[in-house]
Amino acid sequence: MIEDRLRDTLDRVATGGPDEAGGYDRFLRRRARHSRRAAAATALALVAVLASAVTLSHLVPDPARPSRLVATGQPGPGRWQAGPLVAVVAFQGFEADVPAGWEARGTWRGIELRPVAVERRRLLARPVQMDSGFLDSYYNPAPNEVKHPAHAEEGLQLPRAAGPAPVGRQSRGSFPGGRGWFRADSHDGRWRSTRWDISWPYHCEPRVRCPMMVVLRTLRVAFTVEEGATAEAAGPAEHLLSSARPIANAVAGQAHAPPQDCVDGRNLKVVRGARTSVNPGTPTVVKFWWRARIATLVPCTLRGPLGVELLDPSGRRLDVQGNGLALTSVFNLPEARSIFRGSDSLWLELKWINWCGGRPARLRWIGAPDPGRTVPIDPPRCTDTSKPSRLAVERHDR
Amino acid sequence: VDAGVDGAELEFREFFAAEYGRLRGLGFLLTSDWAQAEELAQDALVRTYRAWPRVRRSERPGAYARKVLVNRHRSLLRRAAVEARHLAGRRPEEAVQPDLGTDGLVLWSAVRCLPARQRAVLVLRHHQDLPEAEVARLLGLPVGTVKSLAHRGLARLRGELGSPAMEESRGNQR
Repeated sequence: MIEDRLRDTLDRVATGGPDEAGGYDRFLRRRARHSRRAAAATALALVAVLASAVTLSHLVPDPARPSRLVATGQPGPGRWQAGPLVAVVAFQGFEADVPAGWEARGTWRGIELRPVAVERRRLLARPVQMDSGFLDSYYNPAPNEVKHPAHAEEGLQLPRAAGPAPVGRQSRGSFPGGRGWFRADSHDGRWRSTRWDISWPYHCEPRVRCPMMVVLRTLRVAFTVEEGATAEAAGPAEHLLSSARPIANAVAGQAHAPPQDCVDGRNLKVVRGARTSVNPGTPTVVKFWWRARIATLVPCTLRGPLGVELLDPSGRRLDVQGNGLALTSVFNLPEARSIFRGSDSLWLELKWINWCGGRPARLRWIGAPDPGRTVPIDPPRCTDTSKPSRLAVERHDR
Repeated sequence: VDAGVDGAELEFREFFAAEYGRLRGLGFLLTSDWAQAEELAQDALVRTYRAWPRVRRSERPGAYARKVLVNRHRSLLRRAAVEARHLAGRRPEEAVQPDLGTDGLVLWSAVRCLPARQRAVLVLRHHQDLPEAEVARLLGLPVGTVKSLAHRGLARLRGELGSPAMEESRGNQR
């Protein structure tokens, strides 16, 4: 086939070049040149900014506007910024005031905070977390809302007593203005953990049927501190909660933030599997499947690749049509409809048929967190030696 | 381990050792010029290095570098007139020629004569093994256009392989 000959020729051409020796030295020299250029550009920009600032300070009075931390939910943690500042977390539907003496940064699920002073930081087992999520019905401060008639058919999917039994001490109350809060306190050795939840609105985008789960949404602040230091973190936590304001998906009619990327193990749960016929003997069809389900309320975008590569025991790719097939499409997973099951998931299935080559075979999941790992797989039966072995998409639901 | 070199730097060195040859090869397949290929690969790696704190955490840092290289190549194509002036008087690299056999030589010559977008699609699709959707994303083209370019490119290569010149060349070899 022309494709195979082309692949072979391109491989030979690409690897047949002159010696690569000295490549890293040339890279270092180029990198140094770039750094010098960047430093010069930065210096120029700085001079320009300073000049503008000096000019503006004469023209415009100081607006005394606090600085802003904008968290976008990207996978890695952001840069710490010292308060006072306004933390804007549009993808989680809130903004809140970070008090002086504390610093904050964006995380994949919201923001986290810690004292600026290192000696006070040691009192915290980890930074204070602020994000939004679901409150289990054990604690749900608004249990009657889940019986809303518009969602009657979803009633059985609600997370009634889905979580573990409550531990520690629970209390409830309301902030001035009426917003209800729930607080759970527990301890483990010298550490004391506190979690605050306040009911928080969620509004789906226009023309999207909003799942009932949204009524269980809460804004959460959680911290773990050394015994005796609870007040150290409780003050800022209450400040965060009482200053929190709904924005974006928490306000009817407001545009939502661009969806986060779905990340397996964080806001997404991906289950992969291979299955063969239940009958004994060599199977006729081998199927590979993925089920990806959103693990938080807020929609996310799942990017591929999702696929498989079929290999022989030495790691060479088997001669199978479609081998290495990977879907790289983008799937927008909507709001979670249930914590048990739901239409908020992606189902992908590939099937492999008619293998007349050697056995055994190995399988590599493309797009898995450990992309180099291979596992043994029992190939399908040889059904027709005159036809090629094929790997193809069997089912693709979203 | 070098004194004073941190983990990220060491990781990048390993990444460089693994990717440099691949990127240079891809650059050559897109340009037919080892000097330009080296420029593209070096540039892609410097840009990848600048984004390394972020890129190293991603699943496929190599894909990031490849994307930078393809984007740089696209920029060069957009500035085709400037490049044409720059390259005037220069001939594509001929000094290093791997043993391709007759078919391979004819095929490679035909690839080099393809229009730039057709060639880029075939290289990304059949050398880098990227699916059509990924090729479309890298080249900023609709998937339908990528399919059409791949189809036309392969048809042209088939035509070249079946051409009288090819048959004559095979006859001479026999």
